[in-house]
Amino acid sequence: MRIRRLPFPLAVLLVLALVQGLAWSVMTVPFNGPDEPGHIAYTQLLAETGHGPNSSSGRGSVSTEVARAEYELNIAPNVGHYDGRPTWSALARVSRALEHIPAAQRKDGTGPNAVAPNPPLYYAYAALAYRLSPNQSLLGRLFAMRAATVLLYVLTVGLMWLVAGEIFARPWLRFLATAIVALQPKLASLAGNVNPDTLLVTISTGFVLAGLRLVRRGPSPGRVAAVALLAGLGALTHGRGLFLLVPAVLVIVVALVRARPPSRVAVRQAAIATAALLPCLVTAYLWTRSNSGGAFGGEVGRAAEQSFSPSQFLSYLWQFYLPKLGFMSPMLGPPYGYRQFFIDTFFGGFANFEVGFRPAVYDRLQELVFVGFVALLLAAVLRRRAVRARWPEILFLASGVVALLGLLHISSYRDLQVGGDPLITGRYLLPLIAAFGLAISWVIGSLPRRLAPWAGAIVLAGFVLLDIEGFLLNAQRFYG
Amino acid sequence: MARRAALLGLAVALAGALYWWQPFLSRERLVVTSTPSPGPIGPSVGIPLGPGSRACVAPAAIDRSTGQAQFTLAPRTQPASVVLEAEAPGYRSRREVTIAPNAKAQSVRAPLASPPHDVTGSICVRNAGRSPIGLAGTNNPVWIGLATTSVDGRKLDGQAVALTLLEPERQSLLDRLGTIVHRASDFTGHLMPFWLAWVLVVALVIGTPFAVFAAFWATLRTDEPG
Repeated sequence: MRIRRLPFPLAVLLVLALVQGLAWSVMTVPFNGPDEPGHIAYTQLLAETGHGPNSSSGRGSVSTEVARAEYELNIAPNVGHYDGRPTWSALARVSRALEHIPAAQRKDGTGPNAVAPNPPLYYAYAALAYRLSPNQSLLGRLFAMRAATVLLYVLTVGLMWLVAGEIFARPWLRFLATAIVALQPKLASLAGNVNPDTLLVTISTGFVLAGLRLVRRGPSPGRVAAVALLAGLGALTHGRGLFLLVPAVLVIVVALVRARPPSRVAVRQAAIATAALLPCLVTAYLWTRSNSGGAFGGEVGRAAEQSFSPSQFLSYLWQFYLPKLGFMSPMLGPPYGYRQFFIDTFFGGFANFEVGFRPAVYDRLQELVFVGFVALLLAAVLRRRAVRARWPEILFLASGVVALLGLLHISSYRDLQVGGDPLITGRYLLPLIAAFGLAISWVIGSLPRRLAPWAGAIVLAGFVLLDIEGFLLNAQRFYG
Repeated sequence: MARRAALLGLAVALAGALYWWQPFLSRERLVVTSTPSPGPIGPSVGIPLGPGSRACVAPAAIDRSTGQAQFTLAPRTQPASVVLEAEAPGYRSRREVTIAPNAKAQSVRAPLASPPHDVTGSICVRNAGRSPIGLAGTNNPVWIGLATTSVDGRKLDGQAVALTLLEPERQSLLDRLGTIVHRASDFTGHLMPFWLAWVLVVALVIGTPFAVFAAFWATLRTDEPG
């Protein structure tokens, strides 16, 4: 088999992703990613015992080894403290001490662990890195897990290149869409942590590729199976991955309806999809049910028990995006909405949200996102013939956006109903990163042909600046 | 056109880097050497100290680069006089500072003698004035960590004063780049050697704009007619 030479622009973006992901992982003190101690504890327990932690009981939320590292290096007390630093001078002493702890102290992080309701796929992958790490110290293993997560990010960028190739004929638009993904600072920061969200982003991007190929080239057993399997892997990675089921069903139905295969073939392909999807769903269901109060942390059970008021939900949704109207009751929960979700924590809010850009940067980003959204609508109207011609692709991409936003808002609303947190943050949007890159590039590509490359260059420069500034801010926070 | 568009993008990125990153990297700022007791995020708990009383935090890691300690005084109408004392095997420091009244909580930095080598000991704030003072602290057990706070020898249950140790002089990130990368590399369990971490950081910060716009130019060229 002849391996085709990697195109230079793609090679640049893959190397950039690798360098960037590793740099973020080096420049973030261990345990300081979002919920990272919980994810590390889950991975360690799985690697050491083959079992996942429990959400409500156990001998400790992290193992004795992890707890000692967190506290003796003075890391845990400083999580979220912008000026907090570990005790550098204790590193050699603590590392030596941890080398001699009994094996049992690596296996006692059995719970309660807040991330125990997560399905096991990412943790199994990270557990491989934990086991295979060339350095078997705790910090060595942590870095190996982070480096393995960086590889998922590199894969995401590679998949995005293929996704953009399905949509854009012009090479520079393909490059722009991929570069936007490679230069999204929140995604890069997450890649440097132990966190299943990065795998969900990789799977979602692969899913977009599979779905686009299915609607563009027509159904085949392989294409249908790829869509269904990736939707299943999403559910095996995180509860939020369930959103992929909606576009998966839709894209398979659209592809079959458009191709009008004989009913025998259609039934066979539906069976293939079911065979690819069902084992993943069943495994995710059984695994999460066994480790927490119910499947996916009880979310499935509560959906049936908890009341749902459509008018209250609509009021919540309106006030999330727009100012409250006179007849509406006050917003549920804290003042948290569009700005925090789509801007502050989608582009920034690194580590445990204590690292971020200056408020003026967020203000400009908010304006630019608004202008971009209006431009997208305008371009869709002006290029309505092109939009009509490619309705299956657009319907597929839009269904993914609507499904994820719907899932997040419903989940957030239900939590707010019982007085909890909004449970909705910008990194949850990252599975839509492919649609984000495609939308920006499509708008730029809709500009007059002589103007478009100049606009593309400016957008690219903006992402370069944002991305590297995010990295510098984070490095300053932890080691500056 | 391809070259000019790519050059424009590169110029914008480099101009932005000079405008934003250069001041960020070269600005002199306080350098934290350790945070024995980080204190609260948000509202604090007041820990009162009567005249002559002493609040101590131990164990506190005091790196040899330490030259100041920072704590927060509650609002007060009288001037405050405090003595900052640090002790560890082979090391002792005692400095007195007077602080003017302030209607708001006030972050105070007091000098410390630098130890001859990294030590672990205790750091105390003694109220040497005639009126009571309050130190800002926390009652969140996670933020208290292993270091405990005691007042006049009596351990405080579930409370700790906020205390941060600093280098004596302000320094820029550029001045400290070697130390920053070294420490970051140390926390990877030797999987990311210092020299490679250094290469990564330089490649990312300096190489990214050039690499991205070289690739952009390459894709634009293929789009040009003829």
